[in-house]
Amino acid sequence: MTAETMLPEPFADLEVFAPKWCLETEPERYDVRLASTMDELQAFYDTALPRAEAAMTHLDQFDLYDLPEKELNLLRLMFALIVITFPVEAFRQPKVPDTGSTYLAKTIEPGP
Amino acid sequence: MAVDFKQLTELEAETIQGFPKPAEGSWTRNFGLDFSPVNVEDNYDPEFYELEKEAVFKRSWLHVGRETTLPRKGTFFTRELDGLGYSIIVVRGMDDKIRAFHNVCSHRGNQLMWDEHPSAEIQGNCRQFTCKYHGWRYALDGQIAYVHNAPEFEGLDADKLKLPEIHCDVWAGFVFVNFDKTPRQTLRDFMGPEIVKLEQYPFHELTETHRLEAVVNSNWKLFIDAFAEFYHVPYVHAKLNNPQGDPGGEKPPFMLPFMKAYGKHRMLASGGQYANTRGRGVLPAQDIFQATIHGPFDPPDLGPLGELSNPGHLEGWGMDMWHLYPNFAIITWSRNTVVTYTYWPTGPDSHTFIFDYHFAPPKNASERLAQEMVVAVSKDFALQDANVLEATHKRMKSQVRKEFYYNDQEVLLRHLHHVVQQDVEEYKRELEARRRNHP
Repeated sequence: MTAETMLPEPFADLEVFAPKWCLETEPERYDVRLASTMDELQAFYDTALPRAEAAMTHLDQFDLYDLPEKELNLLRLMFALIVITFPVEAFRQPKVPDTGSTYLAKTIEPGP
Repeated sequence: MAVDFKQLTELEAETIQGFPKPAEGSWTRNFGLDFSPVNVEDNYDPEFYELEKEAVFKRSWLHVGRETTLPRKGTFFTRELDGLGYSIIVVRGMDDKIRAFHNVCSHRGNQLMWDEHPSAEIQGNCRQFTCKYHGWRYALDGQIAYVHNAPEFEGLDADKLKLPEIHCDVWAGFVFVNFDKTPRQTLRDFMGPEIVKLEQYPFHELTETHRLEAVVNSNWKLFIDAFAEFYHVPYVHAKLNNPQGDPGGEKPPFMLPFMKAYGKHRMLASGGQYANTRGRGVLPAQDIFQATIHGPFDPPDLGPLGELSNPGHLEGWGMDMWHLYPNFAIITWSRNTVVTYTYWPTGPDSHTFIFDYHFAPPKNASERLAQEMVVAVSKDFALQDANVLEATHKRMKSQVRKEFYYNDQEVLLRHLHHVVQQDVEEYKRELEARRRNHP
């Protein structure tokens, strides 16, 4: 029995993160970042960052504006990885320190 | 006994080498200003704010969007300028001319164009503007086109029913409006003979836009101040600059190599990716996705950037930041991306901040991801910048201290407040003269 996968076959090792992180918009990804623990962010980062170059090589074979569904999910997973790198690499917490009263809402974002 | 705070540390002394002052001995004197403490009441005084709306915002050309947002006849967008009490429609007409109108139906005053929520800005495409209330319609040039059950009215005059038009012009692909009855200057004259040359920059190539927005609980000028100096960078952005650095350790100062006043406008230049390298660490993810706050490592070739680019003729040029009076900034990065900031007051104590990133359209996923990284990094940086503003605004407003000290690296702030205060003073003199002539 194989369950339905979200990502292209060569990225089966990232499948465990896909349901949580393959999100369509930046506000959704940023919200999940803020709602995650550092252990969760660290695990995603540790597994996904070493695979980022392979993901880009894979995705660059396709037309960016006509990505198959699984490739689109992989791109979104990489967008999510980008959103969580500062917490892991710099802050050691999901939220930017000392930004208690501030937000920046992404109101225009290009596709895909 | 007071501590000797004027002594440079070894690290400071070493870092500030290679940043010569202009002939006047300081940037501050080069701007025609001096080092006297700055009165900051213009940031919170409600009376000053009311005068500032008239003297500054209703007499200047104000940036409201990009021409590329209006690609075809009938495309339009609205802007909610609550601080000025206005909502406006900007539209490309059937004759391809871009016009701006007050967003008010001539019948009973309903806001003409909106969806779902009257204070939410919209954009779209239409042939006529139709009022939701009683169905009156207007052509894209503002002329009344249809009045529902018109014979029920007496004495309707088509000329009087035209939508109130606002002066509107386009420069460098940016759309500006002017709320003055008769603008004192054309848009090009307002920019001045030097700044106007910025239109040679290939802005039209950069059509991939990301926008971040926030309502910030501070006066609008305080956010301009925050981006008008890099003196804050080693401390506000300590962690982002140098994650591996010792959090309690000494930080090398960030120095700006070039600043210049252009009438009411002003600019600074910096080394971008070449600047402040002593105080910066490498972040693994940025290396992998090939992008930092300074832009993608492999930017597109845009050809010549125009004769106004890098006016300080810096060798390691990273960016120019143009502060266009009163509330608009254009940053041209040497990695061929453009950022704009627009600040709209919503009251003396708050403003809306609009942060746009403009890239060349990405050709593949790697380029798209590099651009996403640039914006993600910039967002977390800007959150740090924004958060000190509320803390600053509240404490300024408490008036425990009314004057503050700005250094030579902070001359752009000094210049902004100087020009705004000058414009308000001139307006007050006009009001006084009008009162004397018409008691």
